[in-house]
Amino acid sequence: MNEMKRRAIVWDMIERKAFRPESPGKWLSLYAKTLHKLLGMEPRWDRLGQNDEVIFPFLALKCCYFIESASKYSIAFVSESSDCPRGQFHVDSCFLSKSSLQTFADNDKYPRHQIGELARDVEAVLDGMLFHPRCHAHLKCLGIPHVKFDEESGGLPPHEVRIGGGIENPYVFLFHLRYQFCLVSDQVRIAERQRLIDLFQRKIRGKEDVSAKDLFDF
Amino acid sequence: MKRREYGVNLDDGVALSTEEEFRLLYVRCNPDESACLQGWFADNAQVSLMLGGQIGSGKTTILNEVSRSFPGTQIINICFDTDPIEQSEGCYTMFLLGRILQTCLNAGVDSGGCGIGLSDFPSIDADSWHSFADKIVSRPSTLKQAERLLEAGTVIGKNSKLVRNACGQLLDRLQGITSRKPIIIAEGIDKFRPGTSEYFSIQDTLSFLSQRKTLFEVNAIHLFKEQDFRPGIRKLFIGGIADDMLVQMFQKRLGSYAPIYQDAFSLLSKYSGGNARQALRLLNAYYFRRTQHKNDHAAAIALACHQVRKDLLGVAYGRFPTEIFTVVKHDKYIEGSLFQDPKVSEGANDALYHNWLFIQSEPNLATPTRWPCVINPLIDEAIKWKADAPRTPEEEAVRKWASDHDISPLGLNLPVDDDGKPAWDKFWEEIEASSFSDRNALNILGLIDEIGAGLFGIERQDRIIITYKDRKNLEAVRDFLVGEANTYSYFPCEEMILEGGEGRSPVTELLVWLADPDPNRIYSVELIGKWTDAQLRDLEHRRDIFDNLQMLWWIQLDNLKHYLRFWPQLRQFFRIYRLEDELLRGITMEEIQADIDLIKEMSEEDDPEGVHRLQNVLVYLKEAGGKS
Repeated sequence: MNEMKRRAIVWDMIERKAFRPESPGKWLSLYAKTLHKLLGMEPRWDRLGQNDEVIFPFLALKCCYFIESASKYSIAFVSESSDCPRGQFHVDSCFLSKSSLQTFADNDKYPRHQIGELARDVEAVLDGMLFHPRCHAHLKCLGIPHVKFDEESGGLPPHEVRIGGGIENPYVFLFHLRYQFCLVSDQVRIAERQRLIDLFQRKIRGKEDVSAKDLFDF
Repeated sequence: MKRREYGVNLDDGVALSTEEEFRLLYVRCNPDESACLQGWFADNAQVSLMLGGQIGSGKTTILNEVSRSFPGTQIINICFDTDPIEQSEGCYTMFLLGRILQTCLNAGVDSGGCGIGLSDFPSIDADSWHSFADKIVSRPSTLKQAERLLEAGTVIGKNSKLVRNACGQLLDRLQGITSRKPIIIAEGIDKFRPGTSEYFSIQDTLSFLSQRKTLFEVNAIHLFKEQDFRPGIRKLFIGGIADDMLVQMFQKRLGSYAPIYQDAFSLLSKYSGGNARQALRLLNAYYFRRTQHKNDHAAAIALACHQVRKDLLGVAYGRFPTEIFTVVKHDKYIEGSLFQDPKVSEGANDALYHNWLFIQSEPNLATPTRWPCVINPLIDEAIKWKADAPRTPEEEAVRKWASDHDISPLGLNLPVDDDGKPAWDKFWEEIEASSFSDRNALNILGLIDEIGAGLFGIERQDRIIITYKDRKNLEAVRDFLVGEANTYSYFPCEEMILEGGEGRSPVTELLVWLADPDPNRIYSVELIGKWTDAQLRDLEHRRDIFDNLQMLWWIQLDNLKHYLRFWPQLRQFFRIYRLEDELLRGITMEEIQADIDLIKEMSEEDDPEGVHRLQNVLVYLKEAGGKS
């Protein structure tokens, strides 16, 4: 099987294993309760529902979302200080997209004889899905004022935020925000990226689902 | 305490101690004093030394920093504030003996022929000096053990001179073996307030130690009482920290996020008065307001000042040294003699001990009696002094916000009497009233919002006092807080009711309870009964045993107002919140049930504590009709 087809299968497997939660409430709760750890911030008392907002105080930005299903949602970035919208996305699976047309059937399996390629395939898929979406916008494009992080302490420039376009799954979208807004240090990003690559590779090999607990490293 | 390698590391100003903390957070604020201490440790010719500074000035951190540089050195650490079982001469001497014995025995010193024998202390029931030493310095784990220690302390109290002589002989023998003077660090003397019975009880021990190479950790007020130690004893003063150092401290605490909040650094350092703990508490409160309450810069500054002033400085009005304030404001120094002058020393000592005044540095050679001094800015800024320099637009904006929102002390101008003179009594009444006003009361959701950072994280352990008017339903509130903490991680909780009053021993009970403290546990302590002044002071002394513990204290409002007079040190370790009368307002059964389900799924235990706690809350809510 060629590389592109294998990776399409992996992409689909990752989404099914981790981003179509049986209990959206628990998935979102764990998102809320672990976000601070990745961002290197103080924990705050938080619950998230399906129609809620995630706050990134260091950017004075909130992300308001409404999830109707795993393929239909809307999301808006709003300036915390002025409630001024900075960008909105609406995703509705009633309409076609190129990627939806290319979704592979469930019975497509990752070829066993090519399992040695799995690590690289998972890495490439996660890069495109979460860490560096092919189609993306930077904060500046959303009109978010420039924020400086301390580079001596490891902080990253805001240019490292890449908000993915065309993400059809709301849980993938929220999850990729978690990584993209982690500007506290490149080391933290590198460690999180590797953790997720290892996690998905392990779970795909073991034919297991990825629990929210594992996904968020609770 | 575990710290974040990257990102934010806030707390309420606890001393740094671990390698990780020094690497990530330490700012060398007092290089001269550090160098001086290094020299003292290294030089065998040195004798006793007083290391003095005000509460929160960073004494313990400097001491920890310097002693880390001497890893192989035999150092006898004695924590007089926290470790003796009772505040009596006998127990202080017993603890001294125990720590010296431990060090000497480890170094191979022969303990025989010192004038004391194991049979002198039958209650300890030790079959060797090793065992005896360990038993008398260990924190008792049962009340029976505590009784035995007290019994031994009574025996030693009657023969304290003899026991100190034995200590002296042991130290001499140790010096003979190591060819160096044993170094003793007498920690926690700063908690002993001159004039109190416990200060009197420790006097002979201090005099004994001052003849040795002992470093005394003392409050600034003790520096003016050298006769209680040894006339002519060398003194080292830890003064105010320069603004640029405080800014560095803020930067380290906020890590990569520092530039985002850097606009606040100049005002936060200004309102810190050079005091490290006050600075860190202001930063903590400011950051909380900015990140969680979405307050803008001016509001966050005003509210941070209000919170910290309320926690650290607000007291029931007593004898307030107004005349000293006025003089310090005018002269910008305080005469050292004021701390000994019988007419005004009480007020001067009070002002220094409560951090109402900050001494900035030692006097210079030209004016050796004048100690550069400022009024704590959190008080000073509340007062409309005529001679003040013009304020910056930023300060004006903060004061305007505070004034518009009726927040004190910023924006609260000093009331004047009919003759136009400052009405100090009224001023303090207003300060006190604002500390405990109904307006500051929080519902349970407001409270969990405020204390969540400590309760839900392993990177900090905060100590919180929750005060209330009506005790009804307090268990449900506690269960809610503990249960919610367990939706973040596994945080078991231990509860204790400490009843004070004549004939009771609440502090001993507390010591037994905390014999083996666990930093990942939540300790819930309810203070009830009529605590005596001595019991309250004893608790004040022990404040360092709460260091690095996550604690929730529950105290009835009127009682707390009384207790705070006795807790100038202890209150520094706590944040105080007032719970509104309708204790559980805002919680719904559906949300509690969702959290129960979450913990059940996440926990690997059969019967997770969080589930049990939240089920209690659910039962309460059902009985209350769905919502509280």
